Amino acid sequence: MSQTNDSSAPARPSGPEGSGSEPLNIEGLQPQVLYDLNQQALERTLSDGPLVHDIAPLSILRSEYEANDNHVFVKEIDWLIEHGYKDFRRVKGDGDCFYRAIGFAFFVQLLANPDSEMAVVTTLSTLTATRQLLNETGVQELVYEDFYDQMVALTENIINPDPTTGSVLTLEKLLKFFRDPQESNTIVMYLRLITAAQIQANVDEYEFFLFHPDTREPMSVPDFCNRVMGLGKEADHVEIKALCDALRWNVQVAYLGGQSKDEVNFVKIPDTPYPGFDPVVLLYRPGHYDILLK
Amino acid sequence: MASIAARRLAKELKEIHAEGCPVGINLLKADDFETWWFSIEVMGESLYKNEAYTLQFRFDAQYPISSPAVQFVVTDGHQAPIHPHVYSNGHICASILGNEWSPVLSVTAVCVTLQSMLASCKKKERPVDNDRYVRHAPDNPKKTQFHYDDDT
Repeated sequence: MSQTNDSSAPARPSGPEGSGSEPLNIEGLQPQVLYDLNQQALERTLSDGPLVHDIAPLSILRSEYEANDNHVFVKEIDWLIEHGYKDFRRVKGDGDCFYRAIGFAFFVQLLANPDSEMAVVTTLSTLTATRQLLNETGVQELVYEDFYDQMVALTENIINPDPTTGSVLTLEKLLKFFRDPQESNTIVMYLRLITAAQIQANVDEYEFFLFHPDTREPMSVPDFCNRVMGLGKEADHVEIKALCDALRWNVQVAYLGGQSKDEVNFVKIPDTPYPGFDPVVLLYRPGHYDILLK
Repeated sequence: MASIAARRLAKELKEIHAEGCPVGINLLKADDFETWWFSIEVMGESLYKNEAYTLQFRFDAQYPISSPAVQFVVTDGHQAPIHPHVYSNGHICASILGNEWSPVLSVTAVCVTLQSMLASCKKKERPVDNDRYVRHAPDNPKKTQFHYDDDT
C-alpha cells in the first residue's frame, strides 16, 4: 500500500531549533511541557497522511524516539515489544483519533471474530439500545439517524453483502471506508453522540469528573457534552468510559507517559470487562491515540 | 449519490414543511441543498422591533459534520442588522457557527439562536473592528477565525 510515510524523518520534540545534537533531558520536564512538545511533534508527523495508516512495526516508533534521545519513551516501547506488542497502526492526530482508532479497531476485531454471525447480532442489539439512549437524552432522530444507519450498515456488512457492491466487508474495504473523511466521520460522529448521551443519561456518575481539557476548569454536563459532540475535540478517560459503557466495549490503553517506571501502565476500561469481546488495545502518548497490536 | 448532507437536509426540509418554522422565522428559499434563505424577525419588545432580516445558509458536502456558512444577506436591498456581533457585510461572529458547532444543531436551531442573539441586544452598534474586517473578509465567513469575546 502506498501512503504511509513512516520512513520520513522523525519529528524532534526537543527544544529550540539549533540545539544540535544536544540530548534533551526529558525526565526533568514538567508534564505540561512534555505534553506540548509531544503535541508539536505529533502535529508535524500526523497532520498529513491517511486517517488510518497501514500497520507498522513498533520498532519504527522506537527509532523515532531514539533519534530524539527520548530515552524514557524508548524504554517504554522496549517494554511493549518485549511483552509481545510488536506492531501498531497510526491514526491521524486530528482531535478525532480516539474515536477513529477505537471504531476502526472494533470493526477489525469484528471481522476477525471466529463466530462473526453471533458477534454481529450481539453488536446490532447493542446498537439498537443506543437508539433508545439517544431518544431518551433528547437527541432528535433527524440528527442521529444518518450516523446510526451508517454504523448499523457497516456492522451488517460483515455478514451480509452490501446491496450495491454485492460483497461483504473485508479489511481492505474497511480501510478504504475509514480513510474516506466523509464515511469515516459518520462513525466518529455516531460514537461522539453516543458518548455524550451516555454522560447525559448518567449524570450522577459523571458530573464531578467533567473538566475542560485545556483550562482544567469544571464544566457543566451540557457544556461538556456539547464539546464531545463536536468534531476534532479530543477525548479523555471520561469519554472512553462513557463510550465503553454505552456500547459494552472493552478497551485497554497503554499509557506512554515518560513516567519511567519499569513497565508500561495499561488502563482497563471498564474495570470489569463486558463479556463477549476481547478488548481493543490503544497506545496513548500525551494528546494522541494509536492502535496497538500484538 | 445522496450524500449525508443531502439526506440530512432533505429531512430537515421535510420537517420545516410539515411543522413550520419557529415563530418569527420563515423559509424564503430552499430549492437545492446548497443555499437556503430564511427571513428572521425578533418577536416582542426589542431593538429590532418591526425589522425583518434575511439569513443565508450555505452547506457543503460535509454538513452536518461541518457547520453551515451562515450570514445575513446584504445584497438586493437587504441589510444586516446593526449588532455588536454582526459585520456590515453580513458575517456573524457566533461561536456556534464556528468552534462550538455540533451536528446536533439544525438549521432552525441556528435561526432561533441568532434570533435570541438579536433579541438580547442592548445597543445597536457594529463590531469595533467592522471596517477593518469587512475590507479583508473572505467571501465565506467560515474561513474567518473569529475571536468570540462573549457568550451569545
